[in-house]
Amino acid sequence: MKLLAALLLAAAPAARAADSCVSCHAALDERNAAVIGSFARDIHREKGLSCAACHGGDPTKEDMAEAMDPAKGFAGKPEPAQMSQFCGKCHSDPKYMRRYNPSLPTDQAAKYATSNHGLRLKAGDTDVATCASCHPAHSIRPPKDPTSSVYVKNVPDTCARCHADSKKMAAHKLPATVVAEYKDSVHGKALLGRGDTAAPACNTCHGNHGAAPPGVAGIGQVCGMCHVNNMEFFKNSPMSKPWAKAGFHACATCHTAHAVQKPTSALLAGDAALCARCHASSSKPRAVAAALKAELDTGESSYRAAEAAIAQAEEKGMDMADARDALDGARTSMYQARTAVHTFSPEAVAKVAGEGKAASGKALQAAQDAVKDFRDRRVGLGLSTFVIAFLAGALYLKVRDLESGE
Amino acid sequence: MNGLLCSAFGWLDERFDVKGLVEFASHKRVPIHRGSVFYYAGGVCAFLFLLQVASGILLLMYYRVGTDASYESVRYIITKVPFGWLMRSVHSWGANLMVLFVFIHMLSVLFMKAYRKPRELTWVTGCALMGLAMAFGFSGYLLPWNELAYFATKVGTDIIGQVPLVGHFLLKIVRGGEEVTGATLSRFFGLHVAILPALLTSLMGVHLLFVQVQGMADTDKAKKTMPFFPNFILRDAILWLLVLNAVCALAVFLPWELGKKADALASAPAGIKPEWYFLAQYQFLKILPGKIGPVSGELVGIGVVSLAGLLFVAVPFWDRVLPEERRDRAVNLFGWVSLAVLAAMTVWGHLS
Repeated sequence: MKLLAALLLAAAPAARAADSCVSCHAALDERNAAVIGSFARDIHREKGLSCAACHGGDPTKEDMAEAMDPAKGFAGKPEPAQMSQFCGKCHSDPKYMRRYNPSLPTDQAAKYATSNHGLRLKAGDTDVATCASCHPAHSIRPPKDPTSSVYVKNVPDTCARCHADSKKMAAHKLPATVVAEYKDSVHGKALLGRGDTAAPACNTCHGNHGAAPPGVAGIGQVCGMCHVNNMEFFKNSPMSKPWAKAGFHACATCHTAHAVQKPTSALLAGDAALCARCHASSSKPRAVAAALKAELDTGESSYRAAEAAIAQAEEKGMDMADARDALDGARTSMYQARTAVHTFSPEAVAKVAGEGKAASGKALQAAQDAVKDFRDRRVGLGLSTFVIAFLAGALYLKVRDLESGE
Repeated sequence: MNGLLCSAFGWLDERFDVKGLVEFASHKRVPIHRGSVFYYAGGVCAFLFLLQVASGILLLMYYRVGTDASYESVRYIITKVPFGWLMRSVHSWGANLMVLFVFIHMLSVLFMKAYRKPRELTWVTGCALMGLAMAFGFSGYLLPWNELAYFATKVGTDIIGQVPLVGHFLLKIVRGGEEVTGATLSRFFGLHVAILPALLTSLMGVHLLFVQVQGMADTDKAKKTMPFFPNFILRDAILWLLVLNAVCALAVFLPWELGKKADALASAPAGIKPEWYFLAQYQFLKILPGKIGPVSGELVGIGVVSLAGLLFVAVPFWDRVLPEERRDRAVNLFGWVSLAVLAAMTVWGHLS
């Protein structure tokens, strides 16, 4: 292991000259050898940086005291409180970073200082995430590398290392269920289940280095980064101002923050209705909610009817490409109708849902025509079979007649 | 009316000796024995070819060649053109049935030893017709430019590239470049609607001429015979009608799917396989190891398949050099082993 670690590092393209950090630490013990081994794949090593680039000292010296001389800049292992400055030596220096990756931001340390992690650290709480908590020291990979701890699909588990630890979270009076809730949410299922890397991970809403809850004012904006129309509709709806006044989260009040589920019309009316939490059953808002639900439900049922009819026609081998196109249009309209619910205007929803119903109707008609066409084909086949059987029978009689005379 | 027909007949007879032809046909006799039923297979092949020509011409009225037009035009044919769905399915099912009946015809001739002197050339032209029928199937399969056809053609033409020395050159000729593209589609279309029909029609003419001149092989020394005209022809016609009805029933109950449009940038869908009549060869090549000694496994496979094909075509010539008492047995063994290997490989290929 030690030998392998030393060999791996020695084989790295850069820093081929003798490096006393590598030779000594690889021979120290298993833990040190493992650190040396993993560093061979670290992005910093790949870019040609050695141990001394971060820890300082003089790796050309064989003598330990000389190699780790504070006078030669040896900094050793940084304390959590110093971590962001330690990494920020390079990562906050745009001129230096340009050499390696001109597009990499250099505001990580500044953002970290504004994050809940950074603020707590500043207040003296050392049990908080620092750079190395998320970017494991000595084995850091770029965020686009699927093996990286901060690759989009790995982010939930990286955050979970602390945020799913109930003991650790209890000390900070934070829930330890958020990651589990996220994994079971529509976002978590999209990212981790379907592998859709466009779906949000923790940092999409909370930020990377400046991680903090979006807060009441910001949550609508954060969700609106992706759900643009939902946010615009809500902002211009009659609900917007009263909610802001009451201090409600714009989106999370109905959809929750982490456990976001696929919305259904049941959220509007019925036993599971969210509107019923605040609005009395005989109130006008409840009537509006019921009207919105009715529009969505009728649109959905016409979509389902068309889908079933198309499947039936396809089972009979009929080509349903045009009907499928119409059904795709209907589905888009129904998505738009669900988005338009955030206007809380039955007219606006009815307009879009109406387009969906019309497209579903067109698809349904095409499917029913195809099934009828299939029946017609069978009738045609029956008739042609009759004619062919008649002709074949006549020929058979003729042959028999010919052969009986021989 | 009869008078008009008689004078037309007389007019033709005066110029082309039609009476001679009628006389010839009326004297031709077909042996009756337990294997006589197989005599009809050849006629069914000819009928299915005519059906392919007729349905193909109708499809040609709407089909447009090109990567941005082929798929769309076939979709238009099956969804918008009156009875277009019928023509397309009849053409696709007819093609498969034609290859099936060609196989039945060839195997029946082989087992009845009807290829023996003086019918060696009839056999050879029959083998060439089988090759042309398979080439028809291969070239026609790509024309709808759908996903399955695209990748099956890619795999099929890849095999050509494995031929030693000239493989890459042949591959470029067949594909019209390095990859399966619009150029491949154009040349497959040309092959399918011009070159192959001309070759097959001419060769079929020669094949039928041989059959008519030499008559049906009577290897069983049948005691009974029937007149070729009209008895045998009328019986043939009954079978043709039944086959036509079967093709129509298949078209109605199992219409040929069009699937998704070909996309060269998409990954190949799982389980891509060639048509059933190429499946045995494909499976055989698939199971061979990458290397057999110093030679690539695929090359050995191509060699074995080519040799087996050559052995099949040359049956009339190696059969005669065998000792007379073992001749029938050897050919039967060759036939059954070939059939068993083909069937096993096809089933294996289908299931794997």
